[in-house]
Amino acid sequence: MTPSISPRTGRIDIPVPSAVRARERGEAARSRQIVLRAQSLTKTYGKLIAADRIDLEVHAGSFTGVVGPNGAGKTTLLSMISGLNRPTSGRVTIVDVDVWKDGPEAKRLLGVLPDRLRLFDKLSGAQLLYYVGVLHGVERSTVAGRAAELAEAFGLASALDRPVSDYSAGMQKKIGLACAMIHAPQLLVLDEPFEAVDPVSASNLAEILEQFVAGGGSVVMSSHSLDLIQRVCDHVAVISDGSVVARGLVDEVRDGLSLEERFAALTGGTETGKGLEWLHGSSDSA
Amino acid sequence: MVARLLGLRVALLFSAFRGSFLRSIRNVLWGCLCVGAAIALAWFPSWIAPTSTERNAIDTVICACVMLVATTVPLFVNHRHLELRQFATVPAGSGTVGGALLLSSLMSWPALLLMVWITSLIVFRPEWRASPGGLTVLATMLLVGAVLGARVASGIGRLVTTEHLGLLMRSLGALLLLVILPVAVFAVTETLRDPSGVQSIEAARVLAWSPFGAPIAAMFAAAAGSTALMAGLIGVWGAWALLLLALWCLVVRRSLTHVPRPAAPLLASRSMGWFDVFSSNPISVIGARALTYWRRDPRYRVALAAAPIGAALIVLALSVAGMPPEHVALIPLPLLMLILGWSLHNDIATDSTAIWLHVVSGTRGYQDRLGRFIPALFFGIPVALVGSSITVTVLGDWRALPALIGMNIAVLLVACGVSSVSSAVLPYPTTRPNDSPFLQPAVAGSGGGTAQTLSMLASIVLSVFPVWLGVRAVLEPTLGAELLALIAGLAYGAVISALGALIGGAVFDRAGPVYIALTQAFD
Repeated sequence: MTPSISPRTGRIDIPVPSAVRARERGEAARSRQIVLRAQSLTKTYGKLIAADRIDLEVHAGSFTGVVGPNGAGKTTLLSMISGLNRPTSGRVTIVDVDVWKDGPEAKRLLGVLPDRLRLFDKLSGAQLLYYVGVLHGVERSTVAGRAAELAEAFGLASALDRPVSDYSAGMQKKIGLACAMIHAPQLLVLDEPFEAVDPVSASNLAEILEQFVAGGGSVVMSSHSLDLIQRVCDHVAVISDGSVVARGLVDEVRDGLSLEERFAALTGGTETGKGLEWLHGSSDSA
Repeated sequence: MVARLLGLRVALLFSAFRGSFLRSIRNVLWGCLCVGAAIALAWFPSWIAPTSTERNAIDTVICACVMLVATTVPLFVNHRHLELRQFATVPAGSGTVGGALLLSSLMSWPALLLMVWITSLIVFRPEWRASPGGLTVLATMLLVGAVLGARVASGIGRLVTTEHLGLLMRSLGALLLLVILPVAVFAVTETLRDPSGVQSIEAARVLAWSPFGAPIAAMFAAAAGSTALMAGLIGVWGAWALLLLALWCLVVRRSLTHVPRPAAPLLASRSMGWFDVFSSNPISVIGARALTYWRRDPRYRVALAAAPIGAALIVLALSVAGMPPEHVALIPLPLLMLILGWSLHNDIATDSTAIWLHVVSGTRGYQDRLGRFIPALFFGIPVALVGSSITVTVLGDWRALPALIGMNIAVLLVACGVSSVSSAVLPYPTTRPNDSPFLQPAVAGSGGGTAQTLSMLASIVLSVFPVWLGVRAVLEPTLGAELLALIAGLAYGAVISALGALIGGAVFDRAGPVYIALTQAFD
């Protein structure tokens, strides 16, 4: 996001901050088609309710962040949307195709990056991209071209011949993201895509995702970095204890506060250090 | 066109003697060796066979083998031939090109060697010269059959061998050679040991009715005065020649008008390992991925190594117990096949959480199941073929070969099918990828024993039928029993493995999320 000299006018262009772009995009997306519709999604494990009648709508061309404290049910929600975790009740549709009734059809439209699941990491980066592409039904020649372009965009080109198991955690995230995009999906569902990614790559990834959204795709992503969500997302859903406590445009949810303050208020952030007095001062052995 | 091509052919013939001096010497030596071999091949039966009945039988077998070699070898080795595609730009119709190429093929080293062999036959079999007409017909049928067969095979070989299939075709050819070699060596030694044996006569009776042995058998029939038999045999050959001619026309038209698709840019510049060899559909890439894992992942390598060791131990135990070697010889191969197929019985859990990629890409269950058969079949079928031919050598009766091949492949397919269902229905915790295969899985007491026992028992029970067919054919080697064991065995194996893939696939389709939850618990 550095200022650059426009070749046409010779004037210095100050890039529009991504937060401003996100705001405009959010307004524009409202009038577009709904790509993802989750209706009263519920997941129970015995008595534990991991997700409680969650509703979520995502419009085409919008970037939705899912935030919540640890164990709030973000991963459960995202994996129910992406066909990895069958909901106890409720319904998910991607462009009117039911994920849990017509799986293969819906999954063509969907790109997924789950958190903490393995890739086929004995394959080299190029092999993995090709493998995932073919499984998604992409033609051989198309897959080859896309794989090369994605690797270039994510800065993985020099690593494509190495086995994925040799990649660092951040590089594995990036190749996972490339795998999620290789079949040109309409909706990306990403669980913690920026975890373990270095700051430079993170802004690079964010840029790629923004381009994807600008081109009419939609992204749903969870993250712990509220700063990042506030910067790149246009919509946000706050989850606490398995239910959505707030959702809408980022500005609506923030309601004049910073997202972090609002988040703490919504989720009842604990007062730090309470009841941990024994940790302070001297140790037991002293 | 014909004249020009013939000129080209003659030039090519003599090109073998051009170039460096050493190269010419080497080629001359090779040529002498081949000519010597062709003459020896004609002389050999008249040397060992005491009576004309046996000599005729051995001649029929040799003739059939020569023609078979002429028709199959160009399928795999065809880069030296003048190729049809080279004539695509020549202003001549496909009929002209095809005809000219066929005719000019007579002026090639293999065709000349064939002529040397036929001439030597005439020299070494004075009694054949009694009917010059018959001899002429024989020589014509042999030459026409060989040239047609060789050209069609080479054309088809060229058509199917696109860039990424070349390796596969070459391995297939090498494999065929490996399978045939033990049997051929055995057959020759057996004939040398006992020239009046029934085996060659029986083989000749079967081969006479194949298009490869029919020409010479027809001549023998004519000499014996049975015109009806002769007409029948010539009919067989004629039908074959017509079929080849029709195929040749198709091959010519196809080769002259089609260009294979060039390889994709990324794949051309980058070695993709097994993915280069297999085509790009879900089943094939899952197979290629599984093959890569069998080579790179220590857990699979141990399973692969364990199969022959297990089989060897059982053979050792049985030999020590005093079982006769002919019976012991039958045991290791089916056992190996059983273990190899059974090694797939927990493949979903072995993938650990990476299985999410299959679930999330909407891969159908049957595609996942069938793809995983590929490495087992890739290793298993060559071993079954080569092993069966070694087994018959130990048994001392080559007639059992088809039955043994049928039985062993059937056992492999059955074990694969059962494993496919077991893996989908009863996955159990296993060591993680990259861990030593000798480590205990991270989760304790989770029913691995049940799945292992059940899948092994089910494989054994379902294998009883093909094994029964095979053993029956070994004990009483009639042609009918052999063919039944081969065909019924293969069909039975195919049905069981297909059923296994379908049932396992249906379970997989419904249970995808369950596997992810389960493997997450193991991980």
